[in-house]
Amino acid sequence: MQVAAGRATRTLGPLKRVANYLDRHLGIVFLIPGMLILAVTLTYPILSNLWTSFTNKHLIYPGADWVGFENYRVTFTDPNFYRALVNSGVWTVSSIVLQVVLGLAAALLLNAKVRGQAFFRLAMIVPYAFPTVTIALIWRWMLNSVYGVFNFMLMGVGIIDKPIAWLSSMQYSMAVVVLVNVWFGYPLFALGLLAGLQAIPAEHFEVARIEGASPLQTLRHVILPGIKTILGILVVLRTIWVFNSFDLIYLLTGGGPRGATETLPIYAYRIGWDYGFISQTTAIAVLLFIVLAIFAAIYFRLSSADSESAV
Amino acid sequence: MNRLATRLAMALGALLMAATALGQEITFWHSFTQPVRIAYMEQVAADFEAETGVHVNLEVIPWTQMTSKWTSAAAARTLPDVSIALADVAVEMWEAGLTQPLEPLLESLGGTDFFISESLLDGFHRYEGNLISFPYYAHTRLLLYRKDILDAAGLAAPSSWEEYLDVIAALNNPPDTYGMIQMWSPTDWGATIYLDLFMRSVGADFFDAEGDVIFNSPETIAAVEQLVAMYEAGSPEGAFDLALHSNMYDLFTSGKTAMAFDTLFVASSLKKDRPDLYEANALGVAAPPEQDQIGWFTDVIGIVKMKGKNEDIADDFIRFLYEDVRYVEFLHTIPAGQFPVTTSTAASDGPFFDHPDIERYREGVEITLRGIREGAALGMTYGPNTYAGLLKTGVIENMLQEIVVDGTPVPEAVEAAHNELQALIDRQRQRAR
Repeated sequence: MQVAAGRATRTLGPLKRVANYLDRHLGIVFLIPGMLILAVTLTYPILSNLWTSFTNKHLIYPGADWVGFENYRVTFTDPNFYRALVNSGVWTVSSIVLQVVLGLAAALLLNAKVRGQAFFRLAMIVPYAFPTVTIALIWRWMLNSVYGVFNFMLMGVGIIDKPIAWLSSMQYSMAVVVLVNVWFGYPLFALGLLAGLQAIPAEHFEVARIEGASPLQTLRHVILPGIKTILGILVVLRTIWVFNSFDLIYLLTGGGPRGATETLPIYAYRIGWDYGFISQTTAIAVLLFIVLAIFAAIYFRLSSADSESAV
Repeated sequence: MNRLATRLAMALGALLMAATALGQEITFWHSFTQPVRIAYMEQVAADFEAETGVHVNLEVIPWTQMTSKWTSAAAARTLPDVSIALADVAVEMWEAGLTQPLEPLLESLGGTDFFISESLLDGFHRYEGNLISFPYYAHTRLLLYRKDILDAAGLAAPSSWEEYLDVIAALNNPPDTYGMIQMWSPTDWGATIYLDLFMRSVGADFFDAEGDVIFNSPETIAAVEQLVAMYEAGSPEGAFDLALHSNMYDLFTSGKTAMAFDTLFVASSLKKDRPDLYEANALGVAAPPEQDQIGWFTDVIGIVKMKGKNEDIADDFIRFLYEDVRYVEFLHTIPAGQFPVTTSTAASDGPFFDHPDIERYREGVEITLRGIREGAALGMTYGPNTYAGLLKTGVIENMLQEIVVDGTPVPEAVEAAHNELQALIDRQRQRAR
């Protein structure tokens, strides 16, 4: 049979053979335009960035020469880089941990069919209803050291006796920007986890109740196993976004005071756009890319695990 | 007959110009974000199109975004034909090889006499022997004070460093009113401007004629000590979230700060936003600090012409902007905030002075005019300097914060800032080669 088919193929003309080939690989043909667009919009910027990181490209001066690993050397010998790295870690970990805790608490409350549930769900969308710029400017206004409403209220009820510079104090600034970020980011966890909670079969809760499980035991043995995949995906995705985020923290503090809230993206921006050393900024971007690629790999692993468990 | 022939020739010429320009367009960037100035520019564009048939695309680029905008546009090849630019941006564009020398256009305007002084061109617009930009308007930083608050306290505007400390201490009544709030946020360069005023008043400078940093001089250290003493005498503790360009106006009009350094632009805003203060004549104006000399800080807002395919039209458009009636109309959009730089409009009996608000703030106007004659831009005592932009990167603001938060001795902090600036310049020089 195979021999007969082979003879038939050999007797076909070249055009027919191409047509047959295209028939067999039609999927690939349809993918070509998309792949080309991806190559242009993703691969080119990445390669261009990588190339620039090995040059002495400056914001002002035209042209650039190859300088090898010089930009990486300058970055790794700059103490401000390590300060920004630590700040990025603190900013990301504390933001994510608090967003998970608050998001889970909010999801549990909304899942408990409390009165006014629709209102609370709507209220959680508020941080997403406005552009980050608007949110940052409003928070900056409220937290202003001289005329901010926050100080006004705290002084009014006697908690503080003089205004506090929330956004420019070495002591408070990082905590304050993290709290603003938590307010901004926890609804995403809440809504995602709520969807996860509602996917847990009601029988599981029923069995836990009949067996006399405490709320904590229900959380540990029923809820967390039921939402672990979606929680994992949310944590990884949000970690990528928070680690990489620039606008909120930059608009709130500009990385100050004295670098106390300067994360890696802000550090990279300062080097490139303030000082003009754009090639060093691209080197920092490469380092950021490597860190984020690790998180992305974890995300894809979790996603595929989720798909398999769903099957 | 001759007159008729001339008129016919002129009409024919205009017609020819309009016909050849039909369908053409140029792009003009400006940084005038106030509605009144935007409206004025739209009118100018419409008038130019009506006269020449050339459409003018207007793009508003805020001052703080100009560098990121032009560098991106240069990469994308979407630069305008003509742009407004501060001196530091103009010199950067020139270094990037993007702008045209303006000597030929100056000749067509009638030579250097067209502008108020040769020194203005040398101080703000001539770089390495080339005229890289034209002045468009100018202003000077003055001491602005709340006359109502100082009058109530029986105080006069300070002049010497000692007087500043005395007046600030006498006015300080936190949290209602602070003597003179220092705005040290690194998000703008307000602290650098304040420091520059005091440095210049004792003859200190950031750079020498070769562009090397000379920030660690004894005079500079004294000026930094003065600024720190003023902070301690009359600023909210640790309020480093305050920036001159974002917060000064609110702090001043609310009476939170009794004094600030800014231009007479404030007078125009006051008339619109706080007519109560305007009518009460609450805005007092005095010269900047004077110790050995007056510490002038002057900004001349310039115009640059890009290399491109519409250079002749760009020339026409620039000439159009400077036509006397139109130019004075522009200056009057912010009366007493924008000062003339062309000889024909700057004469003391000229049309510029024929405005009630300019008459009202005559004293401030006179101080400003003197500042324009004698002052220099930030880091540009010896003319345009390609490194002056580095003074806007927060180095000075961070230095001041370090002194008051960590208690770092002033000479030590000044030395560190000096070294940081010099290192940045050395690295940039290496690249420039």
